[in-house]
Amino acid sequence: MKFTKEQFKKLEELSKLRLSVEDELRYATDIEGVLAYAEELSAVDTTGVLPTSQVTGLSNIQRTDDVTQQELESGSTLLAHSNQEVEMKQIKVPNVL
Amino acid sequence: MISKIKVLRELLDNKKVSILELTQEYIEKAKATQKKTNAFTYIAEHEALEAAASADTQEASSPLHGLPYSLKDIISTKGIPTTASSKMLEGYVPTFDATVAERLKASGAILIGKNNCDEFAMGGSNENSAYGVVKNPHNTSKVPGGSSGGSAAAVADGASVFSIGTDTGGSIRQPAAFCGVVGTKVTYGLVPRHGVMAMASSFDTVGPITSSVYDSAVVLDHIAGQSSHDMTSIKGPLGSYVDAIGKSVDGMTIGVPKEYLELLDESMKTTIMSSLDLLKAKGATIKVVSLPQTKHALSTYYILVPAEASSNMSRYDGLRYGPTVTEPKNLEELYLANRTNGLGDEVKRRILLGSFVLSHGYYDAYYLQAQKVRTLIIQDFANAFKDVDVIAGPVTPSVAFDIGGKKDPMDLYKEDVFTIPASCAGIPGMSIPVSSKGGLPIGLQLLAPQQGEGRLFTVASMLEELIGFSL
Repeated sequence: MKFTKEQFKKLEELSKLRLSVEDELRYATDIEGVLAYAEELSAVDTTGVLPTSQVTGLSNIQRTDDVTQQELESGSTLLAHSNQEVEMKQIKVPNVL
Repeated sequence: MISKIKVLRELLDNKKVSILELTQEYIEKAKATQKKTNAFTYIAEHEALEAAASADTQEASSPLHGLPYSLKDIISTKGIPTTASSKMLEGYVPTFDATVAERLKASGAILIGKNNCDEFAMGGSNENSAYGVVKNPHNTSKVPGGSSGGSAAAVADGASVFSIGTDTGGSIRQPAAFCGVVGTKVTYGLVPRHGVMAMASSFDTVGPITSSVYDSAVVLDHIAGQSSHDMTSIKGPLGSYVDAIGKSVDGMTIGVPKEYLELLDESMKTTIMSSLDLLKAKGATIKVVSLPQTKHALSTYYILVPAEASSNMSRYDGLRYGPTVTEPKNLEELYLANRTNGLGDEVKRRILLGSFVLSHGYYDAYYLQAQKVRTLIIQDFANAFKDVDVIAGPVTPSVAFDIGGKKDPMDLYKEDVFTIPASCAGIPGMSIPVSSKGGLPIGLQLLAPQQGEGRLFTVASMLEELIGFSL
Protein backbone atom coordinates (compact mmCIF):
# COMPACT_ATOMS: atom_id res chain seq x y z
CA MET A 1 0.00 0.00 0.00
CA LYS A 2 1.53 3.30 -1.10
CA PHE A 3 -0.54 6.40 -0.42
CA THR A 4 -1.08 8.96 -3.15
CA LYS A 5 -1.18 12.57 -2.05
CA GLU A 6 -4.95 12.65 -2.57
CA GLN A 7 -5.49 9.46 -0.56
CA PHE A 8 -3.53 10.81 2.39
CA LYS A 9 -5.33 14.16 2.25
CA LYS A 10 -8.62 12.25 2.42
CA LEU A 11 -7.31 10.35 5.43
CA GLU A 12 -6.41 13.62 7.18
CA GLU A 13 -9.96 14.80 6.50
CA LEU A 14 -11.44 11.61 8.02
CA SER A 15 -9.13 11.96 11.04
CA LYS A 16 -9.85 15.69 11.46
CA LEU A 17 -6.15 16.50 11.47
CA ARG A 18 -4.21 19.13 9.53
CA LEU A 19 -0.59 18.11 9.00
CA SER A 20 2.44 19.90 7.61
CA VAL A 21 3.98 18.51 4.40
CA GLU A 22 6.86 17.02 6.41
CA ASP A 23 4.48 15.35 8.85
CA GLU A 24 2.32 14.01 6.01
CA LEU A 25 5.37 12.30 4.54
CA ARG A 26 6.50 10.98 7.91
CA TYR A 27 3.14 9.58 8.96
CA ALA A 28 2.47 8.14 5.49
CA THR A 29 5.81 6.28 5.64
CA ASP A 30 5.09 5.00 9.16
CA ILE A 31 1.59 3.81 8.29
CA GLU A 32 2.76 2.19 5.05
CA GLY A 33 5.30 0.30 7.18
CA VAL A 34 2.63 -1.00 9.56
CA LEU A 35 0.33 -1.97 6.68
CA ALA A 36 3.20 -3.76 4.92
CA TYR A 37 3.82 -5.76 8.09
CA ALA A 38 0.10 -6.51 8.46
CA GLU A 39 -0.25 -7.57 4.82
CA GLU A 40 0.48 -11.15 5.98
CA LEU A 41 -3.04 -11.30 7.44
CA SER A 42 -4.50 -11.46 3.93
CA ALA A 43 -2.96 -14.93 3.52
CA VAL A 44 -4.67 -16.35 6.62
CA ASP A 45 -7.53 -18.69 5.72
CA THR A 46 -10.59 -17.30 7.51
CA THR A 47 -13.21 -19.21 5.49
CA GLY A 48 -16.23 -19.78 7.69
CA VAL A 49 -14.67 -17.85 10.62
CA LEU A 50 -16.92 -15.31 12.30
CA PRO A 51 -15.42 -11.94 13.25
CA THR A 52 -14.92 -11.16 16.96
CA SER A 53 -15.84 -7.73 18.22
CA GLN A 54 -16.66 -8.71 21.81
CA VAL A 55 -14.55 -11.24 23.74
CA THR A 56 -16.85 -12.16 26.64
CA GLY A 57 -19.95 -13.08 24.68
CA LEU A 58 -22.03 -10.02 25.59
CA SER A 59 -24.72 -8.60 23.34
CA ASN A 60 -27.52 -6.06 23.66
CA ILE A 61 -26.98 -5.22 27.33
CA GLN A 62 -29.88 -3.05 28.48
CA ARG A 63 -31.05 -1.31 31.59
CA THR A 64 -34.30 0.45 32.46
CA ASP A 65 -34.47 4.05 31.31
CA ASP A 66 -34.34 5.66 34.75
CA VAL A 67 -32.56 9.00 35.15
CA THR A 68 -30.19 8.89 38.12
CA GLN A 69 -29.33 11.74 40.47
CA GLN A 70 -25.80 11.80 39.01
CA GLU A 71 -27.20 12.34 35.53
CA LEU A 72 -29.43 15.18 36.79
CA GLU A 73 -26.46 16.95 38.36
CA SER A 74 -23.89 16.37 35.67
CA GLY A 75 -25.25 18.74 33.02
CA SER A 76 -24.21 22.08 34.47
CA THR A 77 -20.95 20.78 35.90
CA LEU A 78 -20.02 19.38 32.49
CA LEU A 79 -20.53 22.79 30.90
CA ALA A 80 -18.02 24.26 33.32
CA HIS A 81 -15.23 22.26 31.65
CA SER A 82 -15.64 23.92 28.30
CA ASN A 83 -13.37 26.78 27.27
CA GLN A 84 -15.93 27.82 24.65
CA GLU A 85 -18.65 30.40 25.21
CA VAL A 86 -21.65 28.94 27.03
CA GLU A 87 -25.11 30.41 26.42
CA MET A 88 -28.40 29.13 27.83
CA LYS A 89 -26.71 25.91 29.05
CA GLN A 90 -25.38 25.22 25.56
CA ILE A 91 -21.86 25.42 24.16
CA LYS A 92 -21.72 28.05 21.43
CA VAL A 93 -19.65 26.89 18.48
CA PRO A 94 -18.28 28.86 15.50
CA ASN A 95 -20.19 28.90 12.20
CA VAL A 96 -20.37 25.59 10.44
CA LEU A 97 -19.80 27.32 7.10
CA MET B 1 9.08 -10.00 47.21
CA ILE B 2 7.95 -8.30 50.37
CA SER B 3 4.30 -7.44 50.79
CA LYS B 4 4.20 -3.72 51.51
CA ILE B 5 0.54 -4.05 52.47
CA LYS B 6 1.35 -6.56 55.24
CA VAL B 7 4.28 -4.51 56.56
CA LEU B 8 2.43 -1.20 56.60
CA ARG B 9 -0.81 -2.71 57.91
CA GLU B 10 1.12 -4.04 60.92
CA LEU B 11 2.71 -0.64 61.56
CA LEU B 12 -0.62 1.19 61.26
CA ASP B 13 -2.70 -1.30 63.27
CA ASN B 14 -0.15 -1.26 66.10
CA LYS B 15 -0.06 2.54 66.01
CA LYS B 16 3.70 2.61 65.34
CA VAL B 17 2.96 5.22 62.70
CA SER B 18 -0.14 7.29 61.94
CA ILE B 19 -1.77 7.44 58.51
CA LEU B 20 -0.82 11.12 58.35
CA GLU B 21 2.85 10.38 59.09
CA LEU B 22 2.87 7.54 56.55
CA THR B 23 1.25 9.74 53.90
CA GLN B 24 3.74 12.55 54.58
CA GLU B 25 6.56 10.04 54.12
CA TYR B 26 5.13 8.81 50.81
CA ILE B 27 4.55 12.35 49.53
CA GLU B 28 8.25 13.05 50.14
CA LYS B 29 9.18 9.79 48.39
CA ALA B 30 6.91 10.74 45.45
CA LYS B 31 8.68 14.11 45.15
CA ALA B 32 12.08 12.40 45.22
CA THR B 33 10.95 9.80 42.66
CA GLN B 34 9.58 12.59 40.53
CA LYS B 35 13.00 14.25 40.25
CA LYS B 36 14.61 10.94 39.31
CA THR B 37 11.98 9.29 37.06
CA ASN B 38 9.21 11.82 36.25
CA ALA B 39 6.71 9.12 37.31
CA PHE B 40 3.95 11.57 38.30
CA THR B 41 1.90 14.12 36.38
CA TYR B 42 0.39 15.36 39.66
CA ILE B 43 1.32 14.86 43.31
CA ALA B 44 -1.87 15.38 45.33
CA GLU B 45 -0.12 16.61 48.49
CA HIS B 46 -2.85 18.79 49.91
CA GLU B 47 -5.66 16.36 49.06
CA ALA B 48 -3.74 13.35 50.40
CA LEU B 49 -2.81 14.98 53.72
CA GLU B 50 -6.42 16.05 54.27
CA ALA B 51 -7.67 12.52 53.51
CA ALA B 52 -4.97 11.02 55.74
CA ALA B 53 -5.88 13.21 58.72
CA SER B 54 -9.50 12.17 58.32
CA ALA B 55 -8.59 8.48 57.90
CA ASP B 56 -6.71 8.59 61.23
CA THR B 57 -10.04 9.26 62.97
CA GLN B 58 -11.74 6.22 61.40
CA GLU B 59 -11.58 2.51 62.14
CA ALA B 60 -9.73 0.52 59.46
CA SER B 61 -12.50 -1.29 57.58
CA SER B 62 -10.21 -2.81 54.97
CA PRO B 63 -6.55 -3.92 54.62
CA LEU B 64 -6.01 -0.91 52.33
CA HIS B 65 -7.13 1.67 54.90
CA GLY B 66 -4.52 4.43 55.17
CA LEU B 67 -2.19 3.06 52.49
CA PRO B 68 -0.79 5.60 49.97
CA TYR B 69 -1.38 4.71 46.33
CA SER B 70 -1.41 6.30 42.89
CA LEU B 71 -3.46 6.05 39.71
CA LYS B 72 -2.46 6.12 36.06
CA ASP B 73 -3.45 9.53 34.73
CA ILE B 74 -6.13 8.18 32.37
CA ILE B 75 -8.27 7.30 35.39
CA SER B 76 -10.74 10.06 36.28
CA THR B 77 -10.43 11.49 39.78
CA LYS B 78 -12.96 14.00 41.11
CA GLY B 79 -11.31 17.34 41.86
CA ILE B 80 -7.84 16.09 40.88
CA PRO B 81 -6.38 16.88 37.42
CA THR B 82 -6.59 14.08 34.88
CA THR B 83 -4.67 14.74 31.68
CA ALA B 84 -4.17 11.33 30.02
CA SER B 85 -0.60 12.69 29.73
CA SER B 86 -1.89 14.80 26.83
CA LYS B 87 -1.95 18.53 26.02
CA MET B 88 -5.50 17.87 24.85
CA LEU B 89 -6.64 17.56 28.48
CA GLU B 90 -4.33 20.13 30.04
CA GLY B 91 -6.18 21.65 32.97
CA TYR B 92 -9.05 19.14 32.88
CA VAL B 93 -10.36 18.31 36.35
CA PRO B 94 -13.07 15.61 36.34
CA THR B 95 -16.30 16.09 38.26
CA PHE B 96 -16.57 12.41 39.04
CA ASP B 97 -14.44 9.47 40.16
CA ALA B 98 -13.87 6.45 37.97
CA THR B 99 -15.38 3.32 39.55
CA VAL B 100 -11.91 2.05 40.48
CA ALA B 101 -11.08 5.39 42.17
CA GLU B 102 -14.42 5.31 44.01
CA ARG B 103 -13.83 1.77 45.28
CA LEU B 104 -10.30 2.57 46.50
CA LYS B 105 -11.57 5.75 48.21
CA ALA B 106 -14.21 3.63 49.96
CA SER B 107 -11.48 1.21 51.12
CA GLY B 108 -9.76 4.10 52.95
CA ALA B 109 -6.62 4.03 50.80
CA ILE B 110 -5.00 7.45 50.32
CA LEU B 111 -4.50 8.75 46.75
CA ILE B 112 -1.15 10.56 46.66
CA GLY B 113 -0.90 11.29 42.95
CA LYS B 114 -1.52 10.56 39.28
CA ASN B 115 1.07 8.66 37.35
CA ASN B 116 2.59 9.76 34.08
CA CYS B 117 1.89 7.44 31.16
CA ASP B 118 2.10 7.25 27.39
CA GLU B 119 -0.42 9.73 25.99
CA PHE B 120 -3.92 8.23 26.05
CA ALA B 121 -2.24 4.90 26.88
CA MET B 122 -0.73 4.67 23.41
CA GLY B 123 2.80 3.38 23.64
CA GLY B 124 5.14 0.80 25.10
CA SER B 125 7.92 2.90 26.59
CA ASN B 126 6.38 5.99 28.29
CA GLU B 127 8.28 8.18 25.80
CA ASN B 128 5.00 9.51 24.37
CA SER B 129 3.84 11.69 27.27
CA ALA B 130 3.25 15.42 26.73
CA TYR B 131 4.68 15.87 30.26
CA GLY B 132 8.07 14.32 29.63
CA VAL B 133 9.60 10.89 29.33
CA VAL B 134 9.45 8.58 32.35
CA LYS B 135 12.72 6.89 33.34
CA ASN B 136 13.35 3.42 34.72
CA PRO B 137 14.26 3.72 38.43
CA HIS B 138 16.85 0.90 38.13
CA ASN B 139 18.71 2.73 35.34
CA THR B 140 17.53 6.17 34.32
CA SER B 141 18.93 5.85 30.79
CA LYS B 142 16.37 3.09 30.17
CA VAL B 143 12.64 3.16 29.59
CA PRO B 144 10.30 1.95 32.35
CA GLY B 145 8.02 0.42 29.72
CA GLY B 146 4.54 1.61 28.86
CA SER B 147 1.99 2.72 28.69
CA SER B 148 1.70 2.44 32.52
CA GLY B 149 5.37 3.38 32.90
CA GLY B 150 4.85 5.99 35.61
CA SER B 151 2.77 3.54 37.68
CA ALA B 152 5.43 0.82 37.50
CA ALA B 153 8.27 3.27 38.17
CA ALA B 154 6.48 4.74 41.21
CA VAL B 155 5.85 1.33 42.79
CA ALA B 156 9.38 0.08 41.98
CA ASP B 157 10.93 3.20 43.49
CA GLY B 158 8.89 2.93 46.69
CA ALA B 159 6.82 6.06 46.05
CA SER B 160 3.46 4.24 45.95
CA VAL B 161 2.36 1.17 47.89
CA PHE B 162 0.46 0.25 44.73
CA SER B 163 -0.77 1.84 41.54
CA ILE B 164 -3.62 1.11 39.16
CA GLY B 165 -2.69 0.96 35.49
CA THR B 166 -4.41 -0.16 32.33
CA ASP B 167 -3.47 -2.98 29.96
CA THR B 168 -4.73 -3.02 26.38
CA GLY B 169 -1.85 -4.90 24.71
CA GLY B 170 0.62 -5.27 27.58
CA SER B 171 0.64 -1.86 29.22
CA ILE B 172 0.63 -3.24 32.78
CA ARG B 173 2.61 -6.45 32.21
CA GLN B 174 5.46 -4.95 30.17
CA PRO B 175 6.32 -1.98 32.47
CA ALA B 176 5.97 -4.31 35.47
CA ALA B 177 8.57 -6.60 33.86
CA PHE B 178 10.92 -3.71 33.01
CA CYS B 179 10.64 -2.23 36.52
CA GLY B 180 10.74 -5.47 38.53
CA VAL B 181 7.26 -5.32 40.05
CA VAL B 182 4.08 -7.42 39.78
CA GLY B 183 1.56 -6.41 37.13
CA THR B 184 -1.86 -8.02 36.70
CA LYS B 185 -3.90 -7.76 33.52
CA VAL B 186 -7.38 -9.00 34.36
CA THR B 187 -10.01 -10.78 32.29
CA TYR B 188 -11.74 -8.26 30.04
CA GLY B 189 -14.61 -6.78 32.05
CA LEU B 190 -13.43 -7.94 35.51
CA VAL B 191 -12.59 -4.41 36.70
CA PRO B 192 -15.07 -1.77 35.45
CA ARG B 193 -13.76 0.75 32.93
CA HIS B 194 -16.17 3.54 33.90
CA GLY B 195 -14.15 6.74 34.18
CA VAL B 196 -11.09 5.25 32.47
CA MET B 197 -10.37 7.09 29.24
CA ALA B 198 -10.97 4.62 26.45
CA MET B 199 -8.25 3.62 24.02
CA ALA B 200 -9.52 0.40 22.45
CA SER B 201 -12.84 -0.48 24.02
CA SER B 202 -12.83 -4.21 23.30
CA PHE B 203 -9.25 -4.62 24.63
CA ASP B 204 -8.88 -2.14 27.54
CA THR B 205 -8.52 -3.59 31.05
CA VAL B 206 -7.76 -1.98 34.44
CA GLY B 207 -5.49 -3.66 36.98
CA PRO B 208 -3.02 -3.38 39.86
CA ILE B 209 0.75 -2.85 39.83
CA THR B 210 2.26 -3.88 43.17
CA SER B 211 5.48 -4.95 44.85
CA SER B 212 4.23 -8.47 45.58
CA VAL B 213 1.73 -11.07 44.38
CA TYR B 214 -0.18 -10.95 47.69
CA ASP B 215 -0.59 -7.17 47.36
CA SER B 216 -1.96 -7.60 43.85
CA ALA B 217 -4.61 -10.03 45.12
CA VAL B 218 -5.63 -7.69 47.96
CA VAL B 219 -6.02 -4.72 45.61
CA LEU B 220 -7.89 -6.81 43.03
CA ASP B 221 -10.31 -8.01 45.74
CA HIS B 222 -11.25 -4.34 46.21
CA ILE B 223 -11.59 -3.21 42.60
CA ALA B 224 -13.04 -6.20 40.74
CA GLY B 225 -16.76 -6.71 40.25
CA GLN B 226 -19.67 -5.49 38.20
CA SER B 227 -20.63 -1.85 37.94
CA SER B 228 -23.90 -0.50 36.57
CA HIS B 229 -21.84 2.24 34.90
CA ASP B 230 -19.94 -0.27 32.73
CA MET B 231 -22.23 -2.57 30.81
CA THR B 232 -19.29 -4.76 29.76
CA SER B 233 -18.31 -5.52 33.36
CA ILE B 234 -18.56 -9.13 34.49
CA LYS B 235 -21.45 -10.19 36.71
CA GLY B 236 -20.45 -11.64 40.09
CA PRO B 237 -19.94 -13.45 42.39
CA LEU B 238 -16.16 -13.49 42.12
CA GLY B 239 -14.72 -14.89 45.32
CA SER B 240 -11.54 -13.67 46.99
CA TYR B 241 -8.23 -13.65 45.08
CA VAL B 242 -6.31 -13.60 48.37
CA ASP B 243 -7.70 -17.11 49.03
CA ALA B 244 -5.77 -18.38 45.99
CA ILE B 245 -2.43 -17.21 47.41
CA GLY B 246 -0.21 -19.96 48.78
CA LYS B 247 -2.33 -22.87 47.51
CA SER B 248 -0.55 -25.94 46.21
CA VAL B 249 0.52 -26.26 42.56
CA ASP B 250 0.72 -30.07 42.91
CA GLY B 251 -1.03 -31.63 39.93
CA MET B 252 -1.14 -28.40 37.91
CA THR B 253 0.08 -28.41 34.32
CA ILE B 254 1.93 -25.37 33.02
CA GLY B 255 2.14 -24.94 29.24
CA VAL B 256 4.99 -23.07 27.53
CA PRO B 257 4.19 -21.97 23.96
CA LYS B 258 6.85 -23.16 21.54
CA GLU B 259 6.17 -20.17 19.32
CA TYR B 260 7.18 -17.83 22.19
CA LEU B 261 10.37 -19.81 22.90
CA GLU B 262 11.38 -19.62 19.22
CA LEU B 263 11.42 -15.83 19.44
CA LEU B 264 13.71 -15.67 22.51
CA ASP B 265 17.48 -15.51 22.73
CA GLU B 266 19.19 -18.30 24.69
CA SER B 267 19.71 -16.35 27.90
CA MET B 268 16.05 -15.28 28.17
CA LYS B 269 14.91 -18.81 27.30
CA THR B 270 17.14 -20.23 30.06
CA THR B 271 15.84 -17.66 32.58
CA ILE B 272 12.20 -18.48 31.84
CA MET B 273 12.61 -22.27 31.76
CA SER B 274 14.82 -22.48 34.85
CA SER B 275 12.27 -20.40 36.79
CA LEU B 276 9.46 -22.73 35.73
CA ASP B 277 11.55 -25.84 36.52
CA LEU B 278 11.40 -24.85 40.21
CA LEU B 279 7.67 -25.63 40.13
CA LYS B 280 8.36 -29.28 39.25
CA ALA B 281 9.67 -29.92 42.75
CA LYS B 282 6.28 -28.76 44.02
CA GLY B 283 4.38 -31.24 41.84
CA ALA B 284 3.65 -29.18 38.74
CA THR B 285 4.20 -30.52 35.24
CA ILE B 286 5.75 -28.33 32.56
CA LYS B 287 4.89 -29.12 28.94
CA VAL B 288 5.31 -27.41 25.60
CA VAL B 289 2.09 -26.25 23.89
CA SER B 290 1.42 -24.64 20.55
CA LEU B 291 -0.28 -21.30 19.82
CA PRO B 292 -0.01 -21.29 16.01
CA GLN B 293 -1.71 -17.89 15.56
CA THR B 294 1.04 -16.15 17.57
CA LYS B 295 2.69 -14.93 14.35
CA HIS B 296 -0.52 -13.11 13.36
CA ALA B 297 -1.31 -11.48 16.72
CA LEU B 298 0.80 -8.35 16.27
CA SER B 299 -0.77 -7.57 12.87
CA THR B 300 -4.26 -8.28 14.20
CA TYR B 301 -3.73 -6.00 17.18
CA TYR B 302 -2.23 -3.11 15.21
CA ILE B 303 -5.18 -3.12 12.82
CA LEU B 304 -7.97 -3.46 15.41
CA VAL B 305 -6.63 -1.22 18.19
CA PRO B 306 -5.91 1.87 16.09
CA ALA B 307 -9.37 1.40 14.50
CA GLU B 308 -11.06 1.43 17.92
CA ALA B 309 -8.76 4.20 19.14
CA SER B 310 -9.52 6.43 16.16
CA SER B 311 -13.19 6.17 17.06
CA ASN B 312 -12.58 6.84 20.76
CA MET B 313 -10.34 9.82 20.01
CA SER B 314 -13.03 11.56 17.96
CA ARG B 315 -14.52 13.05 21.14
CA TYR B 316 -11.38 15.19 21.65
CA ASP B 317 -12.11 18.34 19.74
CA GLY B 318 -11.70 21.16 22.25
CA LEU B 319 -15.45 21.84 22.51
CA ARG B 320 -16.45 20.26 25.80
CA TYR B 321 -13.05 20.06 27.51
CA GLY B 322 -9.43 20.90 26.88
CA PRO B 323 -7.62 23.94 25.52
CA THR B 324 -8.95 25.59 22.38
CA VAL B 325 -7.78 27.97 19.69
CA THR B 326 -9.38 31.39 19.78
CA GLU B 327 -11.22 33.01 16.87
CA PRO B 328 -11.27 30.08 14.45
CA LYS B 329 -12.84 30.84 11.04
CA ASN B 330 -15.44 28.10 11.44
CA LEU B 331 -16.21 24.88 13.30
CA GLU B 332 -14.11 22.71 10.99
CA GLU B 333 -11.12 25.00 11.55
CA LEU B 334 -11.62 24.69 15.31
CA TYR B 335 -11.62 20.89 15.16
CA LEU B 336 -8.55 20.74 12.90
CA ALA B 337 -6.54 23.24 14.95
CA ASN B 338 -7.45 21.84 18.40
CA ARG B 339 -6.79 18.24 17.44
CA THR B 340 -3.58 18.92 15.56
CA ASN B 341 -2.21 21.10 18.40
CA GLY B 342 -3.48 18.98 21.27
CA LEU B 343 -2.74 15.41 20.22
CA GLY B 344 0.76 13.94 20.17
CA ASP B 345 2.66 12.01 17.55
CA GLU B 346 1.70 8.43 18.40
CA VAL B 347 -1.94 9.38 18.95
CA LYS B 348 -2.08 11.05 15.52
CA ARG B 349 -0.38 8.04 13.94
CA ARG B 350 -2.95 5.63 15.38
CA ILE B 351 -5.90 7.85 14.46
CA LEU B 352 -4.69 7.99 10.85
CA LEU B 353 -4.01 4.25 10.69
CA GLY B 354 -7.32 3.44 12.37
CA SER B 355 -9.29 5.73 10.06
CA PHE B 356 -7.66 4.07 7.06
CA VAL B 357 -8.46 0.46 8.01
CA LEU B 358 -12.08 1.41 8.69
CA SER B 359 -12.51 3.37 5.47
CA HIS B 360 -14.57 2.37 2.48
CA GLY B 361 -12.74 -0.01 0.19
CA TYR B 362 -10.26 -1.14 2.86
CA TYR B 363 -12.53 -2.22 5.73
CA ASP B 364 -12.98 -5.81 4.51
CA ALA B 365 -9.33 -6.43 3.66
CA TYR B 366 -7.94 -5.04 6.91
CA TYR B 367 -10.43 -4.57 9.75
CA LEU B 368 -12.87 -7.42 9.02
CA GLN B 369 -10.03 -9.85 8.27
CA ALA B 370 -8.29 -8.87 11.53
CA GLN B 371 -11.52 -9.48 13.47
CA LYS B 372 -11.67 -12.99 11.98
CA VAL B 373 -8.04 -13.70 12.86
CA ARG B 374 -8.86 -12.51 16.39
CA THR B 375 -11.38 -15.37 16.54
CA LEU B 376 -8.61 -17.81 15.55
CA ILE B 377 -6.34 -16.42 18.31
CA ILE B 378 -9.14 -16.96 20.85
CA GLN B 379 -9.47 -20.55 19.60
CA ASP B 380 -5.69 -21.05 19.97
CA PHE B 381 -5.91 -20.34 23.71
CA ALA B 382 -9.11 -22.34 24.16
CA ASN B 383 -7.39 -25.36 22.60
CA ALA B 384 -4.25 -24.96 24.71
CA PHE B 385 -6.23 -24.61 27.95
CA LYS B 386 -7.85 -28.02 27.32
CA ASP B 387 -4.45 -29.55 28.16
CA VAL B 388 -2.91 -27.08 30.62
CA ASP B 389 -4.08 -25.03 33.61
CA VAL B 390 -1.81 -22.05 33.05
CA ILE B 391 0.37 -20.87 30.17
CA ALA B 392 3.80 -19.43 31.03
CA GLY B 393 6.41 -17.60 29.05
CA PRO B 394 8.28 -14.33 28.67
CA VAL B 395 6.74 -10.89 29.01
CA THR B 396 9.28 -9.08 26.83
CA PRO B 397 11.95 -10.05 24.26
CA SER B 398 14.66 -8.43 26.41
CA VAL B 399 15.24 -6.22 29.42
CA ALA B 400 14.39 -2.50 29.32
CA PHE B 401 15.82 -0.74 26.27
CA ASP B 402 17.44 2.70 25.97
CA ILE B 403 15.32 5.84 26.03
CA GLY B 404 15.29 6.95 22.39
CA GLY B 405 16.55 3.51 21.36
CA LYS B 406 13.65 2.62 19.08
CA LYS B 407 12.79 5.20 16.45
CA ASP B 408 10.76 3.09 14.01
CA PRO B 409 7.18 2.59 15.27
CA MET B 410 7.21 -1.06 14.15
CA ASP B 411 10.29 -1.75 16.34
CA LEU B 412 8.36 -0.46 19.34
CA TYR B 413 5.23 -2.38 18.41
CA LYS B 414 7.25 -5.62 18.17
CA GLU B 415 8.16 -5.29 21.87
CA ASP B 416 4.55 -6.34 22.60
CA VAL B 417 4.77 -9.66 20.74
CA PHE B 418 4.32 -11.77 23.91
CA THR B 419 1.65 -9.68 25.60
CA ILE B 420 -0.66 -8.91 22.67
CA PRO B 421 -2.10 -12.42 22.05
CA ALA B 422 -3.68 -12.59 25.53
CA SER B 423 -5.19 -9.13 25.00
CA CYS B 424 -6.79 -10.28 21.75
CA ALA B 425 -8.42 -13.15 23.67
CA GLY B 426 -9.50 -11.11 26.71
CA ILE B 427 -7.77 -13.56 29.07
CA PRO B 428 -5.94 -12.59 32.27
CA GLY B 429 -2.17 -12.44 32.61
CA MET B 430 0.38 -11.56 35.22
CA SER B 431 4.00 -10.45 35.08
CA ILE B 432 6.22 -11.33 38.04
CA PRO B 433 9.93 -10.51 38.31
CA VAL B 434 12.09 -13.63 38.37
CA SER B 435 15.63 -12.53 37.51
CA SER B 436 17.75 -9.71 36.22
CA LYS B 437 20.43 -8.98 33.62
CA GLY B 438 22.85 -6.09 33.85
CA GLY B 439 20.92 -4.68 36.82
CA LEU B 440 17.62 -4.68 34.91
CA PRO B 441 14.68 -6.94 35.87
CA ILE B 442 13.26 -9.80 33.81
CA GLY B 443 9.58 -10.71 34.11
CA LEU B 444 7.87 -14.05 33.63
CA GLN B 445 4.32 -14.05 32.26
CA LEU B 446 1.52 -16.33 33.38
CA LEU B 447 -1.78 -16.60 31.48
CA ALA B 448 -5.07 -18.28 32.40
CA PRO B 449 -8.50 -18.72 30.81
CA GLN B 450 -11.06 -15.97 31.29
CA GLN B 451 -11.86 -15.51 35.01
CA GLY B 452 -8.91 -17.76 35.86
CA GLU B 453 -7.15 -15.11 37.98
CA GLY B 454 -7.19 -17.51 40.94
CA ARG B 455 -4.84 -19.91 39.12
CA LEU B 456 -2.51 -17.02 38.31
CA PHE B 457 -2.29 -15.99 41.95
CA THR B 458 -1.64 -19.59 43.05
CA VAL B 459 1.20 -20.22 40.58
CA ALA B 460 2.64 -16.70 40.90
CA SER B 461 2.72 -16.79 44.71
CA MET B 462 4.50 -20.16 44.62
CA LEU B 463 7.08 -18.89 42.12
CA GLU B 464 7.58 -15.73 44.16
CA GLU B 465 8.28 -17.83 47.27
CA LEU B 466 10.65 -20.21 45.46
CA ILE B 467 12.65 -17.50 43.68
CA GLY B 468 12.74 -14.78 46.36
CA PHE B 469 13.52 -12.09 43.78
CA SER B 470 14.88 -8.76 44.84
CA LEU B 471 16.89 -6.05 43.05
